[in-house]
Amino acid sequence: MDEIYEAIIVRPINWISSFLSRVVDNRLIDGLVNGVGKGVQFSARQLRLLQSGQVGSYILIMMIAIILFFIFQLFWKL
Amino acid sequence: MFAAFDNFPALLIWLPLAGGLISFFIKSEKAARASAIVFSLLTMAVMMTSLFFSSSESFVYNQVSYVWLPNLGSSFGLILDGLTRVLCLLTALVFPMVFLLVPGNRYPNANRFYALMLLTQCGLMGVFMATDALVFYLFWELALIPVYFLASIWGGEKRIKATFKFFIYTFVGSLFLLIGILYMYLKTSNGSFSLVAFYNVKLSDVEQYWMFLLFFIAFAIKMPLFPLHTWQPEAYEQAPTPVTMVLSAVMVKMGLFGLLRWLLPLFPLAVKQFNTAIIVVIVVGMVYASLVAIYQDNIKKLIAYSSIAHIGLMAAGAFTLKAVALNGAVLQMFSHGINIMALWIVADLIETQTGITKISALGGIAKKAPKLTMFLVIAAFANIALPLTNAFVGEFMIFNGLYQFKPWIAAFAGLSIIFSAVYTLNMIKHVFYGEVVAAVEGYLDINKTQAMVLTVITGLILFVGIYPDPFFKMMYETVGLIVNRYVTI
Repeated sequence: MDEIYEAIIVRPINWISSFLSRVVDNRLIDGLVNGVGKGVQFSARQLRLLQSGQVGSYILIMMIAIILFFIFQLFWKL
Repeated sequence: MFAAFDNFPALLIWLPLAGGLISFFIKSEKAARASAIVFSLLTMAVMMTSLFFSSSESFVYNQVSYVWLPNLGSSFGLILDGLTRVLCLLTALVFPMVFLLVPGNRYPNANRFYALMLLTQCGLMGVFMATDALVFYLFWELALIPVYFLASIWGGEKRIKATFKFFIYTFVGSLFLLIGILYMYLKTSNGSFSLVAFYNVKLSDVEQYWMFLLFFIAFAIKMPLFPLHTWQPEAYEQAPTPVTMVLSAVMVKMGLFGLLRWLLPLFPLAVKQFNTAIIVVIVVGMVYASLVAIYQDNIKKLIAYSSIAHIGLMAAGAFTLKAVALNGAVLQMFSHGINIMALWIVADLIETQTGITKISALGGIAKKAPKLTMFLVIAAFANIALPLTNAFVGEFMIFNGLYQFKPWIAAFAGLSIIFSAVYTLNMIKHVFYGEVVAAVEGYLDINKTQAMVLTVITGLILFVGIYPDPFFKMMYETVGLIVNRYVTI
């Protein structure tokens, strides 16, 4: 009787428990949470490259943005 | 006749605040500890006294309101009603116990440690008593910031990472809450932050759904509910144990309290719309957390996951909107605070003496410390919610409500109770019984102060378990008001 109980209840529960703890909780859920943090840091690092300090490049980006804005306005009638 | 009793809420804020500010300037560690104990005991005395003075027949017992920011429509409003009393009583009880247990020389710069702890108490009291959304938000943050410093200065090895995560996580939640509060403020007829004005705001269905989401995220992170819980085990493990006690006994109740005072009464349409789905997620989370707890080999993480499961049950009870479950949830908020205190005390005593938190590395403490074992076993039974313990009453009522809501949900939630017996009894078996391991060889039993605190806790466990009526008398009117908001829609 004890052996049957061990095999059909105790062991599966222990197995599920260890799976949930190691894989789902640590990797999946916590990985997602930490991933959000890492994503923010990564995009911050990329955006930092834009801050070159050269006025010329800022003006260029501004012009591109203005052109994009006009194109956007042209096609999307508000 | 006793005109001063409307000042009780104010005193509960000012006493810890004053104590905290004074502690910063006390140089000696002993004096800092003594002053912290005195101030926390004074706060407790005020709280206890306030229980005997009710100012009116209505649900409001004591209320004050100071002019604060009249141009913004915010006043410094505090209230002690049934719901608040239960939580303030818990806050007032936990802090003196924590201070009594911590030896004065345990933390360097003890004066700052005690000061920050008292500021946390001030913040917690404010959160529970605020009747003004801006004041509520202010104290919500005030309770968080000292904990950040406490955990990142005096915490364990990986404290910086754990504390940072905890802070960012809860702060993101707080910002959602702030946006929600601002939207509600702009919707009030006379531009006011008061709770009453918020209650009278008429929102469309869609507006309620969005507002519900903003408030709910903040509260769900704080409790925490699955799957927003991953800050908790790390924070509990890394924070110094006195801070963990405050975090788990009182602070997570901020989220539950937010549900009862703000979310449920403010957005009834949205709650009605979402509650079944939310209860299902919560109950899955409870079973999940209980299963994960079985696997844990670290006492602190085990208690953390056990706490997630128990808090989930209270939140599920609140969302059933049944009076019996809501009353049970409020009582359980108090009981859970007391029980988890006891578990942390035991975990801390074991860690300070042996330096071990691994369950598999311990064994045989019962032979060396019979008194400690007796207290632990009672607390552990309360954690499993056996009859005659405080948790039985609350959890029984919550299950009653869940069953009325949907029987199959109650049945599934019952699994988490069974699992809680598995991991709690397993922990007792490995840590306290079996062969005496080398690390436990010279283990000393509890001293007088520890015995006194644990006796108080055990007394509360049994008192609430056998005679919970005074608590229900205190809270049922206030809880009834929440339920009544759902009768008319």
